Amino acid sequence: MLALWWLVLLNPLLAGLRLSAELTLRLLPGGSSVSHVTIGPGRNWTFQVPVPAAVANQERTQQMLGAAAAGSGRIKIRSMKVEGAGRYPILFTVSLPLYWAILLAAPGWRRLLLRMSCGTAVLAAFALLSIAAYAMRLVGGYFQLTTEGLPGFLMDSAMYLAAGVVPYLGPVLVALTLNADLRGLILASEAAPAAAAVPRRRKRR
Amino acid sequence: MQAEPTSASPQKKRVFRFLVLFPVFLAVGFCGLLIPFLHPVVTGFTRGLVEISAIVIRLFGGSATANQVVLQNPSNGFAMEVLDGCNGDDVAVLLWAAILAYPASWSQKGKGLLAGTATIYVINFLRIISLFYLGQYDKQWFEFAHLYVWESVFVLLTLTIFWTWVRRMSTPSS
Repeated sequence: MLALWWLVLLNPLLAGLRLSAELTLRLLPGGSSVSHVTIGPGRNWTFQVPVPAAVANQERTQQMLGAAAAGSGRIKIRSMKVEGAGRYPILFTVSLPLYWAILLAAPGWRRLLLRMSCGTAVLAAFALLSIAAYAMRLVGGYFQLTTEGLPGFLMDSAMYLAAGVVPYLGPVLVALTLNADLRGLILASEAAPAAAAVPRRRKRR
Repeated sequence: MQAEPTSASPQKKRVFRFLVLFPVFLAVGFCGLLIPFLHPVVTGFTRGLVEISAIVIRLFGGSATANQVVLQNPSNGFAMEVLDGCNGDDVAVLLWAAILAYPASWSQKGKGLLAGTATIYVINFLRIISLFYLGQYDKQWFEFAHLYVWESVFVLLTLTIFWTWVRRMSTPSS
């Protein structure tokens, strides 16, 4: 499944993630006209995101933009572009083939399509949250907003979860949640003998 | 007729208890790895892992040196940095959370933790060596194996270790 994902499904999944990310950004205040997400030829992602006035008007931001050096008035910006490595968005999609592989290998083919669809939707939502965390990290890094203190710790934790935990652990947990047969097999190994005892009891009756 | 609900109820309770405790232990474990004052311990462990990897590679006739957390081949210049997330700690935390959350005696948990953690670290050690050689062969394959194949294998391995532990634990009683 990983090979199928890498060779065939990766580009469509990235395109879907890009589209979802762009639609989400457009829902942000002031983001409807300025938000764009593009994937470059090297698979690098470029986020064009709206900049809140509160951030744009900060002294440090203005200094970074060159307002103080020029001696002019405040520089107005509506949006900014940040570019990030393509490996993270790729990582955010790996949970899907893993989930499909677990479901196909697990016992219990009843309602497979429903489980597939529900799990895929949940993991896709996680991928979208992960890409949002990634974009926030890129923007925060540009403005040096989230490097220290509690916000920095939270941002680091969010990225750690998004890139190191959710893509790998997410499929397993979602599969265990949605597939009762798999859950029974792993969490309650005595389920098999108990299930085998049921017909015998029924025979006696 | 009444036998079924009473036998299913403790099982459901166990599963429910596990599903509640597991995320809690997992969160505590991952937070523990992220706490700044524990960072030197984690980095020290990673450094030790890199040094042992270099020694083993040299023992088998390979060329490798350890420089802090960087494993490098002096003959061709290839260098690979082993980050904190690559030292197997994450997967060990996952296994610990699962075993601790599962209802079992402390001795059974202790055995599972010891054997499971040892298995994870031995396989992670093999992973590092395999990636060291794969990186020298092809960078793209290195990325693919590093980020996707090995990581996925590790989560499934943890699941398998946990499942094996649960089955072994229940075998004598059944």
